[in-house]
Amino acid sequence: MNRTQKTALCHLVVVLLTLAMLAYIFFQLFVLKKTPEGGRFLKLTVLILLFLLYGSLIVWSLKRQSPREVETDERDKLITNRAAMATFISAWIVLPAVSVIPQTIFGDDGCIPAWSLPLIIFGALLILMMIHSTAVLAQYFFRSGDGDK
Amino acid sequence: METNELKNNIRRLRFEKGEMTQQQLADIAGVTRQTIIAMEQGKYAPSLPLAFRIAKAFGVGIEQVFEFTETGPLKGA
Repeated sequence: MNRTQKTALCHLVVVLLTLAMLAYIFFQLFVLKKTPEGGRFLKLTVLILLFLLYGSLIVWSLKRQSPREVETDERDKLITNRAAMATFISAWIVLPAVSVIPQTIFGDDGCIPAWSLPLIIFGALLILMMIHSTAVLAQYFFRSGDGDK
Repeated sequence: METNELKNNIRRLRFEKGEMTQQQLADIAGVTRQTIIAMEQGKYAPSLPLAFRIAKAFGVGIEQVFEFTETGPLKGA
C-alpha cells in the first residue's frame, strides 16, 4: 500500500469507530431516553484507545516502501481529485438527509437540545469523510483511469 | 463498446534490464510502486511526461515501451 491508500484506510477505520460511538450515544440519549451506559472510566478508556489506534495508524501510514519513494504521484492525485468530487456531490445528499433526521424521529413539533446540533453536523462531516476514504480505496481496488496531464 | 487501448512492455523491459524490480523502476520514474503495478496490469495509462520518464529509465524510445492499439474510431478523425 502507498501512503494515500494507508491514509484513506486509517481515516476509514477511525471514522467508522467514531460514527459507531456517536450512533450509540444518540440512540441511548434520544431514542431510549437514558444516559449512555458505562461510567466515566469506561468512556475515558474508549477515548484513549481511539487516540492510540489513530496514532499507531498514522505511524503505519508514514512508513515508506523504499527510502526514495515519492509521497504521491500523478495517479494518487487523480484518485484523490475524483474522490473529492464524489464527496462534494454526496454532500448535497448527505447534508439535507442528516438535517431531517431529528424531524423524522421526534416529529414536526418535537424538540432537541441545542448542543445536539453540533453533534449532528459533526456526524454528517464524518459520513462525508467516510465517503471520501471509501472512494479513494475503491478506485485503488478497481480501475483507476488514465493520466490526464 | 469500442475502445482504444494503450498496451505496454514494462514487465518485459524490466526483466531485460537485469531483472529490475518494480520499486527500482518506481524510484527512477518518481512514482509509487502501486502505479507501476497498475500500469503493468493495464489498469492505468500514464500521462505523457511519465511515459517519457519510464522510457528514459529503460534507455529506449517511448514507442518501444507503449503500443497504441486502435480498436475504435479516433475522436476528431
